[in-house]
Amino acid sequence: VKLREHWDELGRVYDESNRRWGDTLMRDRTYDRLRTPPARRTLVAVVAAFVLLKVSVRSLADVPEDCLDERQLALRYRVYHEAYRWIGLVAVLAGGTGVIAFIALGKDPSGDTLAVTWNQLMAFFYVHDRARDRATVDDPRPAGRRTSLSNSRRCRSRHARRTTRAGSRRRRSATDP
Amino acid sequence: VSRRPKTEDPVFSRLEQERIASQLSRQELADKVGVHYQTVGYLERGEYSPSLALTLKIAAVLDLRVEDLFSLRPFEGAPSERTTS
Repeated sequence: VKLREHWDELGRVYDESNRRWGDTLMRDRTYDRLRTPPARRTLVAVVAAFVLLKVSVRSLADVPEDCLDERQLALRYRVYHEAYRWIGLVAVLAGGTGVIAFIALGKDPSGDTLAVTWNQLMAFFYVHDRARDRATVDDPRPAGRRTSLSNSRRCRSRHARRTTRAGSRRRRSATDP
Repeated sequence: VSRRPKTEDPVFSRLEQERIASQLSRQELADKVGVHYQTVGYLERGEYSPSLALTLKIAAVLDLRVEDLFSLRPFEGAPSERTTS
């Protein structure tokens, strides 16, 4: 019976959220420029052009490698390489513009000022300290020997190097006359 | 950003003449050597330099030596001699 109630409740919540979503969508005016007949015709033309472009290159990008010969594979790799270069350039330009805008304006490009309050900063240190405390409590080693994992690893390798060097030195001195 | 692919040494080809002499269509030759028929067209026009494996396969199918089919220098007017096996 409880499951049935939960199910009904879930259905009501779903219907309500669906109705709200539909309502929001109907009131939305953000993309009104795309909701005109010329815009729709343009979109259809763009999609058609994309499909035709794929047909014209025999969907070279999507076909499995086994279906392509050496020339087609070479062409595909060259196009991939060039595409990655372009994508990289666009990403670097976008990132660089964002950073420059951030520095020049003193706030992020969306217009919201970035500010860290004293309490937020303290909260960060609090969480950080708590995490360190928890790690220390779980650590069975004596207080003086506690290090972070990466540090202890580094130490271990350094220790291993040192012992190896000492061993070789000992061996050398034993063999030397 | 876009850079043209490294220009290669031009490779001259007698593939078209030899294929026609062997009475093979592009599609038939392509099927025999395992490439796309367009690739045969690229080879005949000298727009693509084949790999060594593909060159040897084509030579074997046409029963010719590799140097009869492809050369780094332009071919002279005389038709190439067919290898006899």
